[in-house]
Amino acid sequence: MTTRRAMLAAAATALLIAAGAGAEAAYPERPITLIVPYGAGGATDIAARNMTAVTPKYIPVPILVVNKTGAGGATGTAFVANAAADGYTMMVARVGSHTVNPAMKANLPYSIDDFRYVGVFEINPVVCATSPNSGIDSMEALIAAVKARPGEITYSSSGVGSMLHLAGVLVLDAFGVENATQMVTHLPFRGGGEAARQVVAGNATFICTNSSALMGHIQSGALKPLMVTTKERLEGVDAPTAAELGKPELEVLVGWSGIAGPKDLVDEAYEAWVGWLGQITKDAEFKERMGALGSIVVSMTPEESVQFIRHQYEVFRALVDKLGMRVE
Amino acid sequence: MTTRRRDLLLGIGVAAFAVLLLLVVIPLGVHVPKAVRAAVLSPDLWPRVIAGMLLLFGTVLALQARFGAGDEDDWQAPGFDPLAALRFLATLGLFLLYYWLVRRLGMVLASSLAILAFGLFGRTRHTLLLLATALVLPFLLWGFFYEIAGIPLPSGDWVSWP
Amino acid sequence: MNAWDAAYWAFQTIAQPEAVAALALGVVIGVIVGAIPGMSATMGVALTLPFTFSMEPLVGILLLLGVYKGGIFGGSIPAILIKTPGTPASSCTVLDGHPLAERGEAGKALEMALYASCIADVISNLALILFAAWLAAFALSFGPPEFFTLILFSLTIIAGVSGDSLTKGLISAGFGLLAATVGLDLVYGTDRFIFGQTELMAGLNFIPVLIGLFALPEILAYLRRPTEGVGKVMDLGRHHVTWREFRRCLRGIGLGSVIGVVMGAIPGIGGAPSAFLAYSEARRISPNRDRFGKGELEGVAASEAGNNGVAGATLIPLLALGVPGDVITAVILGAFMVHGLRPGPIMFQQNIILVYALFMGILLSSVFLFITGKIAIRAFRRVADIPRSILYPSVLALCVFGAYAINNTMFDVLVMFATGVLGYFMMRTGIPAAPFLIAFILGPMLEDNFRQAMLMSQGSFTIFLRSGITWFFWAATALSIGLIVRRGLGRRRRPATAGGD
Repeated sequence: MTTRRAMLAAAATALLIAAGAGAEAAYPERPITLIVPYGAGGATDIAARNMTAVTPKYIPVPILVVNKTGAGGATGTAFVANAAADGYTMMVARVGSHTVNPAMKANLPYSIDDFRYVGVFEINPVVCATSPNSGIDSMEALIAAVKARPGEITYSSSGVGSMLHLAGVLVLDAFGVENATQMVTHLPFRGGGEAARQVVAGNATFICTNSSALMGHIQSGALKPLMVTTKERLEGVDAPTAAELGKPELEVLVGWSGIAGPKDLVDEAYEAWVGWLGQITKDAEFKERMGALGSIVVSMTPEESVQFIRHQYEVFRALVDKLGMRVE
Repeated sequence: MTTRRRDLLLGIGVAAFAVLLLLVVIPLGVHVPKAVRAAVLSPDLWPRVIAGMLLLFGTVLALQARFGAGDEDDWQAPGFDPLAALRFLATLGLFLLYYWLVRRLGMVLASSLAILAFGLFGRTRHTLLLLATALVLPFLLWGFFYEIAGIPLPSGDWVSWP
Repeated sequence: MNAWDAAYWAFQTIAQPEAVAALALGVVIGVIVGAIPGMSATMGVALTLPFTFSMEPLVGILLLLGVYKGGIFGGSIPAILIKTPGTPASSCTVLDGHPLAERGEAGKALEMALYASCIADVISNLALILFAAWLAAFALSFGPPEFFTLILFSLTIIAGVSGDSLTKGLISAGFGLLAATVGLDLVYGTDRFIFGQTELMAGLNFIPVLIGLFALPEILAYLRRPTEGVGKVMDLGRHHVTWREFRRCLRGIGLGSVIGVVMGAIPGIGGAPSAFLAYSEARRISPNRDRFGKGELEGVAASEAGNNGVAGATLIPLLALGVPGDVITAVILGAFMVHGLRPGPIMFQQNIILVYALFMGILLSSVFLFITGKIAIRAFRRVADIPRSILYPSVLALCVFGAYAINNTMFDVLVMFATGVLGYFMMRTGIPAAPFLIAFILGPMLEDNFRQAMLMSQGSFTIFLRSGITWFFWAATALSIGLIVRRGLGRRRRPATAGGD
């Protein structure tokens, strides 16, 4: 604590001097703000705070996690897109804010190209699940029910433009349900926890979301998993993978978090972050903490990350255009 | 102006505002997608219902004030005080100045100046105490928000601190 | 292992100094954080979360619970002293707490707030321990249609906080509902009243609106004629709650606690609506009905019981079902998960010692809340001694910091100033602020649940009659409106008792 404070004081003094003299010092010379576009206590926020718990080992300045919430992640994301590109405002990019939202919303104040991506650091598998009382116990039964009763089957999500919103129809589309948006009813709720609860209570038929959000309900038997989108089966989830069901293309449907900065992020900051992120994703403590939450820490090069994000975006965009889901 | 007359004007004002909402603001401000499943699901249903409520209650208030009984509450409201009105406008000006200063001097320094300004504007007789408050309080808050809670406070264009 | 063994081991676990210290520290942090406007209990818990990562699970979770409970009480301190609710849940406390402070009875109001908070806390904790499974099943049966009818019923409390003119109360509520529609549409994601402002996409933030509506009009009115009130020396501190007053308030506290427990067990409602409902029901049954809103101790007691009654009960859906009931319990759920624990039925089987230890810790937290509260009141009641010409500028700066910090944007400071001006005009024209606030909180819930129900039923209104719960709330709403109408007619017949305008 004292070192942190001393560091801050030093940084503040240095800053005052720097402001006067216009001198340049090496990055980073003051605390870095890490914007989380979702609320405190959510999966993204916990991922970010898990990260800051280990960053003192690698990053010489404090990282300030700042929640800037609202509009399904758009508020915080737009803020970073327009922030100074000096490397002192970075963000935790997320599947919702960076691939689903841009693919679905025309009224968004940013696009996927407004950012410089440092890298993806964690991936979380998606599970589709339903209540055991629904009488649906497999993807096959779900598809049959959707086709038999068009519009009656509902799926819950954490709002328009959330991954859950897109995931529901993406899965049905892959399983050959034509015009999926008309065949099922989308039930938006405020937040992922609420969306899961409504499936448990039987107010919505099914949900496709991060395994971490459903694991407790699956273990207690309140939810029946139908499918996971990982390559291998998931421990503790008794459900086939998408590939086993003959739909390997659904493996694109995974949640992820990464670090990004504004589009013109200076090279100095970019390279520093690539190095730090490489160290953080190898940190045993970080891996263990993230693992406890059900996510898988990955080490992707910046190039791989950009390719991964872009591919996911294009798949989502194609589906949105096909089904006319774009929000004007 | 009597309270009765005040309420009459208030009711008419609210009703007029509701009409403005219904005819101009809602059509302009609420985007309705082309394919709405059912009329009850339209994004503009709720704002329209609220505007309708305001129209109704505004009218009721105006009618109550015009025709209602209750002469016992028809007291004379305090008359117009030009000095107070001027001071009110000046306060609003100070608010905006405060906001503008945060952008220039940062949150902490701007707040110091603001406390000083508002205290003097409020004709304080405790000048020393005011001075001390202006010097200490913003820094205490800075310590709490920034140091303990880790919330970065805005810095200014002229002074890049905190 | 039987329950007694589990309880024995749980006692061994909780009796370690770190656990007790963490709980005590948590309550202290909570009261401080809650007492600062703009730092809500939610933020306090979220900010404490990272520090718990390296602690033992029980110690960490007790720390967070302490912050939560302390925060909810702490919010009432500025609500009473400077008319600025420290957390949304304490906004109802302003209604009677601040008038008491203005009369120089701040110490009394604070003490009553503390007593009510602690009693409600104990009741809520006992409900958690004894009825968790039963209440959780009840809570789970709340789907969108049930919610809709519950919220509709809750909106009838507007009549209880409208002051003398119901019409003005309804107008105020209309504006509150309208302000809450700003943002992105829930079902279609399209713009509503955004007019190209990115900042408005997220809607208007609750805290800046709250501060603007309550604290700023006072400041504006003072600065308009700064001589008013100067020289009026407030005699504080020496007033304590007497046994008679305490007994008078007990009914309101009991009622508030029960309302808090039920509202807390239902996920997604939170402390503010619960406090308002408790307040309005206490007013309904009180012989001192007419003094509510003008500095009635029973009002403070009921609203504080209402919001603290929620604190223990929100843990019911969390522990029994693994479902967080609000943002705070969502953060606490995160703390469980970081330690590899998953709340829910499984935890009662696998980690029963931890669960029992938590229960013991929770019971202990009420004691710490009482002690910390007593000290805090001593420390804070001097605030009311500060001359207004110093106090108001300081409160203004505090509000600006708080409004900014809630979502780290200066835009919220502008929102606060704007609602402050609106609040001032409302004050001048005799429009009460409380209905605005209630409508602002409940309006989006009403609309969301209405539309969700419509989506579920594909447009059929019969869904609103699908369960006993909906029938119950329809009946309660009808009864409540009936009583309001009857009282209105009664008042007309006896014009002499009617108040001012």
